[in-house]
Amino acid sequence: MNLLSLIPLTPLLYFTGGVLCGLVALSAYISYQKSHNRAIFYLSLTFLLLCLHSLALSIPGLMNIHDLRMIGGGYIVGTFFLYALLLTALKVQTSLNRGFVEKHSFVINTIVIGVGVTALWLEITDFRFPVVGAWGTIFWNTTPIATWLIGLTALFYGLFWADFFQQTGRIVRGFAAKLKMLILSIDGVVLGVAGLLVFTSHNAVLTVIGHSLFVFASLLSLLLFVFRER
Amino acid sequence: MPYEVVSLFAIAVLNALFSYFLLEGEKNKTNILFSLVTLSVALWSVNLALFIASSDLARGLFYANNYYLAAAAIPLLFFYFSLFFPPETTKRWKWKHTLYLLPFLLLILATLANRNIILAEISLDGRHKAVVLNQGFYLVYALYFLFFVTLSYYQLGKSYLESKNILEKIQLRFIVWGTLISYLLGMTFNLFLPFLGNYRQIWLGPVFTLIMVFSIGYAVFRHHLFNVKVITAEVLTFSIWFFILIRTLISDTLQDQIVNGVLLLATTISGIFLVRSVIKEVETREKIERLAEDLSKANARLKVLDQQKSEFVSIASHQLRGPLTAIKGYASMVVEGSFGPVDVKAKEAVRRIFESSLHLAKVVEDFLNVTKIEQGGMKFEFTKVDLKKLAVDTVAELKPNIERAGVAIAIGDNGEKEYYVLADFEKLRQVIANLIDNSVKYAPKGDVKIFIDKQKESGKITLSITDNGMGIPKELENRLFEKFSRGEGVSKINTGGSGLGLYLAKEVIEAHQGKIWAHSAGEGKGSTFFVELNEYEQVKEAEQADRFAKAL
Repeated sequence: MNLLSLIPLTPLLYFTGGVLCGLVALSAYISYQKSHNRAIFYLSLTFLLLCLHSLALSIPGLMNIHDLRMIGGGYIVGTFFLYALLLTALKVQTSLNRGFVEKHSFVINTIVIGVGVTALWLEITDFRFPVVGAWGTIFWNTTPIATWLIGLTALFYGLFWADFFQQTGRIVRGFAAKLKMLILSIDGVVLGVAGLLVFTSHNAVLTVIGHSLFVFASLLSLLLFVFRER
Repeated sequence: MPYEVVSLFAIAVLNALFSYFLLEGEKNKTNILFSLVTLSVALWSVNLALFIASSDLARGLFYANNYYLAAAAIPLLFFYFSLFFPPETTKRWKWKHTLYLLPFLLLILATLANRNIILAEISLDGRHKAVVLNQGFYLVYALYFLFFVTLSYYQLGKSYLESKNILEKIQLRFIVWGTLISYLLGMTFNLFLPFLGNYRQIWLGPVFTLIMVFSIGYAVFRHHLFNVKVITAEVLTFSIWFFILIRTLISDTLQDQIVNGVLLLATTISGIFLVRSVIKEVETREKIERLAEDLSKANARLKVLDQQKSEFVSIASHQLRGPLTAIKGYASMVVEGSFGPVDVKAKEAVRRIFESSLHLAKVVEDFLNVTKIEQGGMKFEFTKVDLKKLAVDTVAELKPNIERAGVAIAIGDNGEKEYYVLADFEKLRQVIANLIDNSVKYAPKGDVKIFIDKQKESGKITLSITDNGMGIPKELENRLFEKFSRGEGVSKINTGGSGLGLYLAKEVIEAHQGKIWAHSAGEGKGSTFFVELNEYEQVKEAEQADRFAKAL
């Protein structure tokens, strides 16, 4: 029996993605200290919250995969970080003062908060133990409404983010700048799809695909700090 | 043929080619002197080869005397070379320099007077020759040799220390080391060993001049020594000749010798043609390069003149502005009756003075603006400007002119609430006023339509001014925005134009990252002028996004 088989897959992949997101947050913060650009600060905060979300969902499982109460509790904390990160991500967009988002940020914020509070309320009031599947994959097993609220929020917000940065990529100048916007846009799509799969799936294969997409998006985000305009 | 003889012939040819090659550059004292040095080496080698090859002892003695005299010429010529290197020095030939020739002339005379003055006796020792030296005179000969060699390196060392030119120092290093090694080895085998009784290795001396040839050759290639224009085709051709010559000399059979000889002849003839054509091509290229350089200098001079012209126009315009303001002011006051009642005819005359001074002031302003643009002195203050409001206000401002011309003007838009652009308000107003004014002038009693269109997708706002006036001829459409470009017949309608208005408009709009262009269906079919600017929000968003992306 090798060591890898002892480590459950969901917490392992979540933890890996979380560490990568932490690195992205740190790199973004270093960039913020140099530039004092508000949008970069919020981007750093977004990735920090994504890191915390991942750690909340992975550390209990890594400590003891059989302690389902602890894992379920971690999931509730993780959901809180998820909605907090969505609100911060929205601040990245509003800091860039771009049309629709700036004008309707109040409405979008209200929707995110409303959906987040509802999902959390449902998770707490109707607490259910998660289910551990094949290869140590975890199905979160929350109330269906909360499950779909979180999954669809992740997907729609991811696509919304992707569209925003795809549009931004059209107006920035220089190859490196356009490439960075493309990376952020791809991040949105990948994280959105990953969120939908991870939160709603009851199938080990789909769950693993979702986790892998999350790790991939985190790695891709690190590339943001590699390219510099010459 | 013995290998020593072949080697010596090869060395002779190589040195002779090198001598010719050095004269290809500038024919100054240093080049000629060094060329003579290598030519002496060639003569030394040939005579040494003939000495070794000859079986007739009398002839052998003749060749031996020749090669000793040729060898004696080497340090003397090298010393003269050291006196005049580097060529840029102002050293001139002086009478005292002639004195150095004296020992050499005495040596020639002594050899002519007594054929056995160096070699006392020659006899055949198998394949080689046994030589008995005249020790006393040989010592004098050796001292002569050492004297000039020492003096040469003293001169070269002095030049090296005095030189402040890095390239010269590098060249001197190559000359000193290349020749010194050749000298030391050559003197060992040709001067000292024979003195000690070993005459067998005498053929090796010239072989060591290869070190000098390669060292100097490298400095010629890499460090522009002797300013020789090295043409690869030339070097290649010489190398082929040299190679075939060696093959001919070492051929064992007569058949091989004939084949190689014919080959040598053929390559010599074709090589000469090749080298000539390449030299011609190189000369043509150099001529073109010189012409391009002259052209670039002329261009730079023209730029300076253009700058001076702009400065002159600027100063002249500034000088004109002051008196014009006084003329305008007083004319206006006279017309308004500030100085009491004026006769109707006189009032009309003063009114014309006032209008002409207004026009002149505009022309002066145009000249000043052009000068500012060309000198890069035009300053822009970008703010949020409502393009529609600006167009409406400008039309209101030009109302007296429009009414006088009997033109019907209409303003429309594509129904958006705002038409904000990022612009320098005053300069954009001048551009729009100029365009409307032009349309009014060129479409008397006609219609002028102003339309503002916002394209949300691209974030652009376009202002178009359409008239049904005289139109634009096709040939003028492309150069309409150039300085002083006016169509035929324009001057009859617009007598007062400076020909700079559209040029200025283009420069101003381009400074806004915008575009300006005109379209006309042809003469008499009216025209439309378009001004496209970036939407304010779009520009601000792009700036912010750029900062974000670059800082990330």
